[in-house]
Amino acid sequence: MAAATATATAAEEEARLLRLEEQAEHGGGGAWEYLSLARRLRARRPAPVLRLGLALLNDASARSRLAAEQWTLYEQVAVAAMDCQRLDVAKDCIGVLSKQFPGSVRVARLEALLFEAKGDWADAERAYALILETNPFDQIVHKRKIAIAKAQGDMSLAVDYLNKYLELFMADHDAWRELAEIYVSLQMYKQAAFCYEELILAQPTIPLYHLAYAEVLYTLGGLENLQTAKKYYASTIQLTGGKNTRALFGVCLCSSAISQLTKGRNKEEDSSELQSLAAEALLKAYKQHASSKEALVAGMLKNMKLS
Amino acid sequence: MPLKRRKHRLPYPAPPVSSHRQPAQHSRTPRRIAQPDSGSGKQPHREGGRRSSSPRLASAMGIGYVLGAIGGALLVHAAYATIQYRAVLKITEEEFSHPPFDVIIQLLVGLALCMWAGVSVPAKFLSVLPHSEENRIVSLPANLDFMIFNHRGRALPSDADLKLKI
Repeated sequence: MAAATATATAAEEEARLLRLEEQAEHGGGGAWEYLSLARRLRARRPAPVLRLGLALLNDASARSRLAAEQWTLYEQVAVAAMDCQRLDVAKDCIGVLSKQFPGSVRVARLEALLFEAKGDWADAERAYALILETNPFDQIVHKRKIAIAKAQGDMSLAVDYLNKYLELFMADHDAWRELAEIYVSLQMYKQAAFCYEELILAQPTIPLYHLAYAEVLYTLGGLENLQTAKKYYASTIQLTGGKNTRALFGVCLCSSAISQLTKGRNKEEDSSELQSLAAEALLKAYKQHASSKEALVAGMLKNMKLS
Repeated sequence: MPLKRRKHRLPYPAPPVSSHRQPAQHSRTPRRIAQPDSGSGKQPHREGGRRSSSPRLASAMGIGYVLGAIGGALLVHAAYATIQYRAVLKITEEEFSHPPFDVIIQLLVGLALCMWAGVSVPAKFLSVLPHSEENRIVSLPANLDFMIFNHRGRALPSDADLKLKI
């Protein structure tokens, strides 16, 4: 649990999660499978997790079949209940856990999380400080302190904490991602671009980071940034096998913006093939999936002089 | 070999060439291994497909096993033949320079059969390409370590009859 081991979700597993959710919600069984998959994919789906998890926990025979796994389920349901603001259920779950594991740090973290869900920031801070006393390098607790600052709306404090945290734990890409998202929300795009560069270095095969980086660069503007953005949109297209509509649109927008900027200078038209291919792929995708909107897209592309 | 394997995914071993679904420009890049972009089109129906064509799976696996056994027997026989040949050489007091031609043929055929069995029996190959349909990444996990509870869940309470029975 400690270091960030989260992997991105492949298309197939995402679809499987939704299918299992549908099946379990309609009483088709597979609830435990769904809960395990949700935990593994770190999906945030509190309402179904709370409903299905409670159903499992309230069924004594199902619970005994889970054996030692049931404590993980208690934890999962407790967090889901907090996310649904069912603090009574969360409190009951944490009570069961603390009876089973007295003095456990993991349960102490859950108790502090309950303070957070209630909005008792001072109590939560105190509880986290207590955990940090015994284990000053508890990554999750450090992250929770950042989250408290964020929940109180104090973004600059959260950025401060995150920067301090990242000086200690540079390999934590979840934290880099969080910092990038906070910077984007504060419209500090240069800093966000730096974070996305770190993320691309750490996990070069995840196309979504390339896409986010390209978008930040496109937002920054300027000829050089636009050209780099176009390259990253192109790498997103390569990594997704051309299935990412956003990246296709990005290539088209970048090239139209570049051609507007370099209108007078009549620069070399080196990558005109890329944008026309992207436009073609876009039109084809719209024809296949939303034929009613195809005319709109064709008109827009014509306005950008791409097709 | 940087290949992942999963048991019993599809009824037959993957064809050794990349399928037509893969764009030509990708198969040219050297760092990618030419892997069949496995039948993503039939993914929703995979369970059904597996069940209906399980005899085919069994027969392909069976052939693989039989070929592997024949290959192994050939290798053993080649070893035995070489030992005998050397014994004959000792009697005729000649120098051993290389094994006889038929033993070499046996070795090569046995090697080929064993390799065939090794590739075909375990399971089908999985794609290692990041853009193939089963590996294509569509979303990042929710950043749960930084989750905060200031959201609409506060205003929309879930059904009140959910309760943990202790």
